[in-house]
Amino acid sequence: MPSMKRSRILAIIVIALGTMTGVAQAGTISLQWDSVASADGYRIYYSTTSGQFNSQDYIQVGRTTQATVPNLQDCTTYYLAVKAFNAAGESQTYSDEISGWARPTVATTVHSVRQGSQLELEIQGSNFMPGADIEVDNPNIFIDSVVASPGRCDTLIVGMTVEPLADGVRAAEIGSVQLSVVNPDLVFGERNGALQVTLDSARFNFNRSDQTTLNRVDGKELVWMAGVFGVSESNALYDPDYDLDGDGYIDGADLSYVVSNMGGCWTGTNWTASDSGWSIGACAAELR
Amino acid sequence: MKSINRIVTVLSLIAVVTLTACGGGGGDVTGTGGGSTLLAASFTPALPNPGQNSVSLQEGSASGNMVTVLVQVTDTEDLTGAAFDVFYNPARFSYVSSSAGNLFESSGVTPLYGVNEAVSGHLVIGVGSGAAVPVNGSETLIRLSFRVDSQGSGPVTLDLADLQGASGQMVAGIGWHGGTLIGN
Repeated sequence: MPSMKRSRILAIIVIALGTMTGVAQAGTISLQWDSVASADGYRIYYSTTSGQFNSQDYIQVGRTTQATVPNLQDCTTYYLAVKAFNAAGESQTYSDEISGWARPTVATTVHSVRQGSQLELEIQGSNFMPGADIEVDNPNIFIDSVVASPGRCDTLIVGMTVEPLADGVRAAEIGSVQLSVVNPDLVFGERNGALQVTLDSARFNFNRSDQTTLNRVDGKELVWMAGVFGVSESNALYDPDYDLDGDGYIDGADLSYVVSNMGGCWTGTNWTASDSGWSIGACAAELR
Repeated sequence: MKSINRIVTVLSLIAVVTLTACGGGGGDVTGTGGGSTLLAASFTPALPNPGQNSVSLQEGSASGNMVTVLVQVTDTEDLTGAAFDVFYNPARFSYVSSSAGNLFESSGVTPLYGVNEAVSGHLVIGVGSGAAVPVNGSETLIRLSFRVDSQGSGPVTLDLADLQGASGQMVAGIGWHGGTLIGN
């Protein structure tokens, strides 16, 4: 009764694409399926033409219900189906067919983005399907637009807002940010540290309405900070304007940014110091 | 209350660390510093007997080539902070370190102190508290320690100075008075 057994095996294979997670690998498709009783293993057939599987193009696995097909071409639609096998032979027909591109990958480039900015970044990688989306693991970075370069599947032009653009808005936390490219079939590729959020040093100057030292960071900033020092975001006193690093807590790190910048003046673009100390020439004569 | 006390303790440490880290020289206020021990440091205030509504520099203690200068506030309204710059001659003296005064230490809220010497001879200073404190008589805002590096004297002046009142307003009518650092 081998033919009956094969038919029963075939009937209960159900496969799914892209439900696996893990480190992105170039040119791979991961898939999983339901197990089949009395199967000794499975063969995953793949092809670039729907319904036309070559008897040589498969990978074979044992009694597992998931596999990753390697060495696939970028930006190419693959069709996959599974057969179970045992000592009696291989199931006669394929499972339902699924299709998709290889998992997207994100290049190792680190993009530096400053708090308080709106910018466009060119994200490089592979297997970006039309309609791919971007996600980041920083709640105060907003993706405004994602546009694929015409005719290309390795570049996305991403518009983003890195808060705060206005006073009273919590800043994007400084440091490394993970960026994910999510294809329309929900298969994604991610890269830790693809974005590096940097401080907006213009925010060190809290007393912008103070005409005496309008363009200068000084002790007044510290005095103002004292009124909200030590509070976290859950506290009613929390003022995001003083949470310079955007970690949800007005603490010693924020204080140190202010103190170490006291004496600096606005150069028109930044408050930062030169290697030899503050560029005092940036200060108006009465502030030097 | 236990957890609150612990937080206050931690914040105090942060403030002190920041104060020390930004102190430029990083030396010990009560130490002898790294200069010549043959020099004796002292400070002469421009206003030895400060009156109401004044901020003045006074000599705290002197030992060898080190001298501590007190920034004192005298009889004014309730305060939440002070911001000012101190200028001195860096060719003859060095700023070494700072430490907390007594004024805001009794406020019940961890005060913040910051001193930054971005340019030699020019200290940018801030002292702040989340709670206002009264000023009765002369109280010390912050202590500044200097070392004499070569013989002679030089003025210490205050500028860009403001006291901040209980509701955050600038206190009007304050006189600011420096003094002279001396190395013999």
